[in-house]
Amino acid sequence: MKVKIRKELVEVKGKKVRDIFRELNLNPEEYVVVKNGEVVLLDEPVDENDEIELIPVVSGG
Amino acid sequence: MKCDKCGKKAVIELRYMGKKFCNSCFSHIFERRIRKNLRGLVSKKEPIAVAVSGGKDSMVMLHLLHKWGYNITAISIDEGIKGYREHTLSVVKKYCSEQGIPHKVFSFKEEFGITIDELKERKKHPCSYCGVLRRNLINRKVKGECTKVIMAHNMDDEIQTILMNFFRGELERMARTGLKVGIRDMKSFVPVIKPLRNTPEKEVVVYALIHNIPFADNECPYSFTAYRRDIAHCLNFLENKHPGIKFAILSTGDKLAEILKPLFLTDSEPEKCRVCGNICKGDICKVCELLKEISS
Repeated sequence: MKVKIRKELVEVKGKKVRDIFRELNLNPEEYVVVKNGEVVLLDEPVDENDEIELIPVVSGG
Repeated sequence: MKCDKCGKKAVIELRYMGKKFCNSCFSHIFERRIRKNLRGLVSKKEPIAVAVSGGKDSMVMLHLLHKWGYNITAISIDEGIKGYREHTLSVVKKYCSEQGIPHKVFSFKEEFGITIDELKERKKHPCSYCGVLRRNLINRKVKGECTKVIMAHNMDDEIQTILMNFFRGELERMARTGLKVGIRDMKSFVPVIKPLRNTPEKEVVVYALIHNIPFADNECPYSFTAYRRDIAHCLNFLENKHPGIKFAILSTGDKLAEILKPLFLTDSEPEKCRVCGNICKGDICKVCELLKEISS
């Protein structure tokens, strides 16, 4: 499935949100996950048809 | 996954509490913590200024203060950073106009005669100048009009600062941290309050998203030094492995500040800058020193 992160689309495999973090080697503390427009938890199931975005928590400005 | 309080679908897990919450229960906890910080420090009648950059923290703070009926004016500073500040300011401008919140914008170019972009051509690290000039400008513009300034620094900002001060041995700076910034009230400075200082950054993002509060997510091309960023990543790594460590650091920082405060309290009259007359340490204040440096 495709996951949007910092305006880029990345191809990721996995059945749950947690798998995305594992595959991309990212810290879940640093992102909020939005699935089909809703904020979700790490145990949320995901599939090909879902629109998923990782929103970075750390900002600078 | 269900909310531990009401059984609805959970949207966030607060691992430091060992609990999951739905939109509504999370919002209740989030708002209660901030309201508690404001209680006794800020009244709804007094005119207060909210420093608003357009980022998630200041937009959430502005949203809540407006929702709770505080007498607010939004203050934004245009430091002159092309490709960055125009967008963030447009977010604040639109929101304030829609919500009927008074909004004032002051620029470095008009007040100090230089933009951060211009400063960057002369100085490798413009961030230290930016922060000092911004705080000075907000204080100058707010003095006499507002009784308090609300800064939306979140818990991650606070603990990064606590650790940076600790690593550098900046004990006086450590003594100044707290809900109300500074060691004591000073006539020439409008008191600064930080109601988000015990709210984790991630929770601010979640709150903004579930309440559709607009915010600018672009990053300043200059700010957020590599050093601060490294500390932020280390803290997030630790929090992921040991939930609650961020709250523990904040608590330790606050305890240390209380111990350190009396060491830096003096009865003598504070020194004044010979150029602008503001309270400072030594002969000339940091702002005048910077402006002198810039013009030379």
